[in-house]
Amino acid sequence: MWRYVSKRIMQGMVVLFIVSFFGFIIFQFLGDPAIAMAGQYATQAEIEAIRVSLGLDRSIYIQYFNFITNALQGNFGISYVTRLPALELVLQRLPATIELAIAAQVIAIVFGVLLGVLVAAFPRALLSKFSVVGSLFGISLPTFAVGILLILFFAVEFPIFPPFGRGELITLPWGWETGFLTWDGLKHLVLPALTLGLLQLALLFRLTRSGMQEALRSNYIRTARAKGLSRFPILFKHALRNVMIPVITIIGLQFGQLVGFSIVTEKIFQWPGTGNLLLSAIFDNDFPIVSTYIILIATLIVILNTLVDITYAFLNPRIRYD
Amino acid sequence: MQKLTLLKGAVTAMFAFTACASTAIASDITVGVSSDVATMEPNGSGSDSNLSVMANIFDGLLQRNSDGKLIPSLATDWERIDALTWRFTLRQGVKFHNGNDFTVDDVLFTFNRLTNPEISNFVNFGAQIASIEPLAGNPWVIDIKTHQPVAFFSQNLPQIFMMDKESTQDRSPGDVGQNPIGTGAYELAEWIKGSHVALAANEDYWGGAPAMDKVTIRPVTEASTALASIMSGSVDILQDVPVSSIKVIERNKKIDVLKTPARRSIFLGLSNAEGQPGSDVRVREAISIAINEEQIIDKVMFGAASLAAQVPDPATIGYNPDIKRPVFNPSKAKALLKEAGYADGFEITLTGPNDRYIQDEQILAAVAADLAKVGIRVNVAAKPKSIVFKELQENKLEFYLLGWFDGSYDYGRSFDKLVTSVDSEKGTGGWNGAAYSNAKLDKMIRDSAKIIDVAKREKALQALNLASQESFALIPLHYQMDVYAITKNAKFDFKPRPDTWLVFKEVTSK
Amino acid sequence: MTNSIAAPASPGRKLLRRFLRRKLAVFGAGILTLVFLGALFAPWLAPQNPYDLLSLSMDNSLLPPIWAEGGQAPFYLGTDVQGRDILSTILYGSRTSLIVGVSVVFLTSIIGGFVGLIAGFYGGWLDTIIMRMGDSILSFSTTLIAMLFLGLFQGSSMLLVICAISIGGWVQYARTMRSSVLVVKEEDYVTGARAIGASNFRIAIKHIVPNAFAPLFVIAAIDFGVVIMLEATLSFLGIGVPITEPSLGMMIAQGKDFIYAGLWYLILCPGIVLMSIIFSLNLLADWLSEEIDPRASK
Repeated sequence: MWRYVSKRIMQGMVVLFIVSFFGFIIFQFLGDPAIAMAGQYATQAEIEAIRVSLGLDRSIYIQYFNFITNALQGNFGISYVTRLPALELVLQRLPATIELAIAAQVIAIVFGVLLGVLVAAFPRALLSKFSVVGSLFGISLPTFAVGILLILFFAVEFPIFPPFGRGELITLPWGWETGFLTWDGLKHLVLPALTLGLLQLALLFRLTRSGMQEALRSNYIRTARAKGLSRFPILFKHALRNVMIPVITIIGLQFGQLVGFSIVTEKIFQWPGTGNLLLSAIFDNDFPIVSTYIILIATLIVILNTLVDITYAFLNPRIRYD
Repeated sequence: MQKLTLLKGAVTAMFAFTACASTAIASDITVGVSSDVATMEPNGSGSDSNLSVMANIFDGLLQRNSDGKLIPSLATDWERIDALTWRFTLRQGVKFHNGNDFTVDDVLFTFNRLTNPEISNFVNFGAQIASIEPLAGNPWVIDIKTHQPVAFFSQNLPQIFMMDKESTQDRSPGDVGQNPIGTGAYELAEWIKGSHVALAANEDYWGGAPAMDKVTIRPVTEASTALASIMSGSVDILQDVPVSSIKVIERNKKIDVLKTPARRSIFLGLSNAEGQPGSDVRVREAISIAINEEQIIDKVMFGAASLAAQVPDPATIGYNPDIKRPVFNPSKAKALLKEAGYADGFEITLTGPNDRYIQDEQILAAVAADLAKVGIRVNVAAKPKSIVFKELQENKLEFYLLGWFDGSYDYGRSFDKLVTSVDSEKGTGGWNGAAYSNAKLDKMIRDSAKIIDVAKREKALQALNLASQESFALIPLHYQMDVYAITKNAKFDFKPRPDTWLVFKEVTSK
Repeated sequence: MTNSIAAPASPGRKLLRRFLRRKLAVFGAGILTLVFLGALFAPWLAPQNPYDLLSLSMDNSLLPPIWAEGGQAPFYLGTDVQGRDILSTILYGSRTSLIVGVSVVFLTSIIGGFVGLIAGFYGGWLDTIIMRMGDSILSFSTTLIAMLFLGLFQGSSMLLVICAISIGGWVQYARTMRSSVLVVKEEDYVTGARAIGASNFRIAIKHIVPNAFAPLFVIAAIDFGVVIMLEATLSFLGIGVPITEPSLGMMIAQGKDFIYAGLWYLILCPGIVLMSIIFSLNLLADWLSEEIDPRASK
């Protein structure tokens, strides 16, 4: 097992190198940061001077080499717009995104998996029929439209929740600013978390349900039932365990999607997280921020995927790793 | 409908305890703006969304009043003593937020900073300054000499904010942009990135303490959320109201709408390279009269724009009141195209941004539809500005849409960037996206640069502007309007400025 | 086909009968057929060709639907800013959305399924390379890839959108296929087949693919909707299909600006169509995934 884990970590490093390289190449085609930095009236020569001062005149390979050697020492470059260390800027925004993603993921897992299990167990209940149809609505409208409609109904027509922003925050001892601990912060969290979590909720619900249906038909559950085991242990202990593999795969994979869709949710709700930062960085040619973000996300994905694979091994001992 | 209202009342009442947090105190003001505040490094950003906030924290040597007129700020007096020399008398007794005195050293320090490409967004302006010297025996009067005569020098000063030398020189550019220290009417109280900027009144401001104690600036980049913010009362003022919703906000009993003419014009540029249709001036004329601009203003801009006959706005030196806009006439356009040998029209790609100007993407589509009716098949390439601006600077486009206004109120300077032939050594034609080239206009702009007499120079620029319009160098569409929404029960008086800056010391309480 | 319907006990007939018993699935299939037909025959059905700039007139800008005050024929559902007939644009826009959805799902599921099969079946370094490649690609958001394409090519087009979404799209299929293969590979019947000397290819096709197919199918059905919405999201961010050729997603993205202006129909009409497409698709997929599951009792 440990050999497997260390192998995966090595592979993860390779992935990060590949990601960082392609992330770097992309910028050649995305725009020229020097244009915006030089100002409206700069001459071509002045723009060139800025390019030189940023090192953008050098070949892409040398630029990449410099970037990666600095990055290995924790220096991801300076934002072209704010002249602040890119890593610091991204990390500063990370708590907002992580709290939003956690809230969304929790909503999705709790409601998605729970409903999935219940619907599979009691297919004829009214709740089941509602959930099936309801889950489809969750994945039938684009995230941005869901967000805008939620704001329209729950912030303007019926002003229950605030339309945007993160609300009042409390700074935790280690510098993390949280919105989880204030009433205002939680209120601000509801609409965006729902928007972001809806798609995942529907997906998890359907996956759990179909997996559970399959498991409940299988022989060992029938045997368990025949032996007189009561319903809920069968459902949650035996059947669910079998369903967890695809569900965990999806939860692990979903994080990438959560982040991808969080860009849109953050834009709609003016959520001060990394998604909003990335979006403005992409559209402002602030490449150090973009590459830092990409590498950070890649790291997270690599870690999550490794964890998913390792969890497989525990859940399904039949899979061998050599 | 009544039922719905009842239901609304009930639901809202149920949650009323959650909604009462936002009752504003008399001298509080919250403003929603359409783009995020990126930096507060005064010399590091020329974009109005940043300058707008910084104008509250910093002062320039000069400032503009709410009508756009140049008035004293950190300089009490100024004059141009000869073609190259400008004399400024500095204000005495001004203190920075950290308690330091404002002196001539700070002025020297600031202007020096402008030439540093790693910091400055005004390298071009900084490079024009040859020397700055205090007058012998009087440290409060300085002479600034430029290399070439710069007619608009004073006009550009309101956006050059004075920095405190002592506290700036030892800090990194990043830190300077984070923790601004200026002489302005407000100090930075809190800045949560991506969320809001809070400003607190500077009670010791040299111009007197401002009426509003606390100002919060909240970026709301998504248009529909911005509307929600003003309709739900989360902000008191909303800048850049989406034009499609002006009518509905005007009908809203709780909100006032303010429309003011903006300085920016929107226009089209077209290549005149050999072999391109645009090399024939008849084609250029045909395009300019084939576009039903009045309809675009009415339907696409929802009335929040005015017809433009030329690129500079009336406040700009070089604006020529004699230029008339060619009349919309699609049948004449067809005839012109036929004369030019394009009876069957031609195909062309129109490139423009879709995240920069009001309704930019819709304007592109409308232009394409109008030109289709005279036989020109237009492919619309609407992309984010970061890509379009790069392509513009490469000067390889066929046909493009751009918006412009001159912060220095001088069309000569803009013309050099927009129309003058591309020449990277002379630094001209940087924004001439389709590499338009016209020897006659090039000569006129070169000649105008040598004129020192202000009145004569203005005449020359007006003639240049006319000549450029006659050869359809650029095809002007309209001037934008700025649209603000303000809550009706506001306890303050707010007057929008032509430069779109939000200068809160001008806001008075009711 | 005629044969199977004629013969009373044929599997086709049984399938049809089982299908008809599922009211929701029939309902979904009905709606989907309707939308597909509408999209297919859009040029003949639509009163106007909204993609043809010559047929647009801004005189007809923002007309309300026919039943509202000021509505006029032939603009039954009203018009948008550019004077495009909403009904026609929905027909043409569904076409764009469906083409994007079908192409991406087809491309990515085939590629992803195949790649995942290889990775899971052969394992080893091949597996490592494929799966790590997937990890790398997933780190780039579709937004960034779409931006890249816009920077590389002159203007936006449907093809660019399809490519931008497909680049990262195959990974989830590959991962799902791979994990199913890993499970199936160890099942008794596969090890049995191996023991009696069946070839790798034969094992893969005959035993593994059918068993790994069901989860892939569920994902594909949901992914179809996700892709159409991703296309809409790209339009929302200004990096989607060209504005002169709106998809359903772009109609919604543009309609949202009028949501507070009371012009509901601009977002409602395309929204309903988009929802019914995805809704029906999932109803159908639900049934299908149960149907093709070899272990389900029938």
